[in-house]
Amino acid sequence: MTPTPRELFVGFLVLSLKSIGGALPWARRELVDRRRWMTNTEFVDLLSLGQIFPGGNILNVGVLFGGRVRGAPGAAGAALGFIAVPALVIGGIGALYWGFGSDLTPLRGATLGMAVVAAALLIATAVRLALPVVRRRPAHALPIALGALAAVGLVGLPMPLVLAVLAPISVSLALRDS
Amino acid sequence: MNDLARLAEMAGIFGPIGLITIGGVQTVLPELHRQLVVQRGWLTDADFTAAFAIAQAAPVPNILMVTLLGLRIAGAAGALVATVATVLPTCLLCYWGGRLWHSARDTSWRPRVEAGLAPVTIGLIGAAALVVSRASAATPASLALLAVAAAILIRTRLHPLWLFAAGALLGGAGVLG
Repeated sequence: MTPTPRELFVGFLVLSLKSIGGALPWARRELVDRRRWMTNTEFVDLLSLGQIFPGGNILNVGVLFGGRVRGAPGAAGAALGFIAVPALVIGGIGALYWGFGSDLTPLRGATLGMAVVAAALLIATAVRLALPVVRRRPAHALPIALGALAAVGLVGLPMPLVLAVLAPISVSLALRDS
Repeated sequence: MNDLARLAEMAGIFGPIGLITIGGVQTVLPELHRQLVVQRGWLTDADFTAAFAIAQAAPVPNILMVTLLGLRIAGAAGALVATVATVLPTCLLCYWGGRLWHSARDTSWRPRVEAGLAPVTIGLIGAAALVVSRASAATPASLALLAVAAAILIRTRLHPLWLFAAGALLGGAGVLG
């Protein structure tokens, strides 16, 4: 069945507000299992396309899917549902935190503790993503990954510059490999 | 600087950054930090890491971290500008690009281009880890938490929310300070 722009708004709003620890697992459950708007194959198709474009992956899935079934109003419905209300929610939390929460020592400490865990999550994400890629083609992946890490994380070079240099090198290496 | 000029400058920062997110908002964390904290001094390290932590732990998409950054820099108007400037160009690009892409969907070079970008993405996430670690873990206790949490997340399938709760408890009790 084809959702209307209003249904797309509600569907992506619900999905967005469930996305603790990333929207991806929830997106599949909500769009494929619960609402039956698409099959699993269609979802994987949209996701791989959504990952090619910049921006949030699931946001892009919403824009692509909404646009495909209902044109511009469908894309706008999905995107607004995914972003607008959740932005108000997080804005409210932020206003409370910086309004008076950050003056309270325990709350400031708790936020610091969560930030440390968030940093650990980034480390784990990088390691887990790196292991299979590095194992498959160490001579290519390791220097590029370490180069990007050092240039941006240690030297503090602008990311667009690093992307402009490393992305073409890395892609041409991959094209030659296979 | 007057308010409108700052909002315009913010749009000029967040817009391009939105367009270079490859594989999620994590990859542009170092660039956001460089532009907003290091270069302009609009935010402190504490503001930046708090925004990241809150956006991670709250039930919203990670990309809405930019809403918090904008809010802290310039209030509600800043939150609006940062969010729209980051999200709208990527949505338009995806909408129009998605239609064009349909005709080129079965090209064999696509997976290889994605494979080629993967090491860059991984390096950038590593850089993000470095930037956020340096900005948040300054004491021996917080470095220990960082190491233990990273080891648990790499080796087990424990849901990160449990660790966020543990981090909040430890930090709230003043153990990390």
